[in-house]
Amino acid sequence: MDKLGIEPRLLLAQVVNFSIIVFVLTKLLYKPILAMLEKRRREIEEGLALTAKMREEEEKIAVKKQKVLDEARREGAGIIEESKKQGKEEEKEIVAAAHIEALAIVEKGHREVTYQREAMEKGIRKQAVSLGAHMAERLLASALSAQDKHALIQKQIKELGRVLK
Amino acid sequence: MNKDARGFVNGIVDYLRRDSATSGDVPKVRELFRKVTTDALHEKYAQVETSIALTEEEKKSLEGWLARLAGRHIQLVIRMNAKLLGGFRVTVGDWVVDTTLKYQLAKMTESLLI
Repeated sequence: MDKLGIEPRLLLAQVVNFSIIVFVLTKLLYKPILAMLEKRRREIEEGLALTAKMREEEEKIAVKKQKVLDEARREGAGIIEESKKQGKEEEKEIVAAAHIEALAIVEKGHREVTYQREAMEKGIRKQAVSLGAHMAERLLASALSAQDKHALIQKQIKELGRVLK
Repeated sequence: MNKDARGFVNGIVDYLRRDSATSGDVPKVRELFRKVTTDALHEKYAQVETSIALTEEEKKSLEGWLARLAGRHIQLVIRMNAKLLGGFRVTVGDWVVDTTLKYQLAKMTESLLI
């Protein structure tokens, strides 16, 4: 030991000092730091776990959201398709109804025209016949001579007599 | 009266004469006879309307015809009516024989309007 330059008592004292320092440090510093580190580690782990859980929840929510969106899109597409179909059917019905109505209007118009034409023809015919009768009456009154009238009366009496036979 | 008017009148008269004598039996007059009512046959007077005064011969012929129809003498009550144009109308009670041109014209007008 002497050859090596080591003083045994000094070494012992140093060992004792070192042990004391180690003991003091262990009691006063090392354990609190370890406890603090452990606490910090747990907090980090909890934070990570929470983050992971949140991420998982977020993923679940995203999946759910996507599912809801897909469902909404499908329903929307279905509604649009149904609306289009219904719209087309209504369009067909409206066109058919309009067609029927148009035909009815045309038919009514034809009937009206026919009625008006017939009424007009009837009126003209009536006027013409009345005018002709009136003219005939006037002309007969002035044209038939007394001789004609007597001839007519005698002829009629003769015919009546023949019927009685 | 001009030529056209005369032609028109002749046409009307021909039509009326032809119409009243289409057949020898004068069906329209015969039809009227069926409607002679019992009351009419018991009437004493016949109202006669003509467009011109009847001659004695015409009166006698008409009286004779009515006597044969009723089986007894019926007295004529004659009245002039120029509006009848021609022919005569005999009314016995509710029975009427109308051979006037006015009536025939009215019938012709009616038939043309149907």
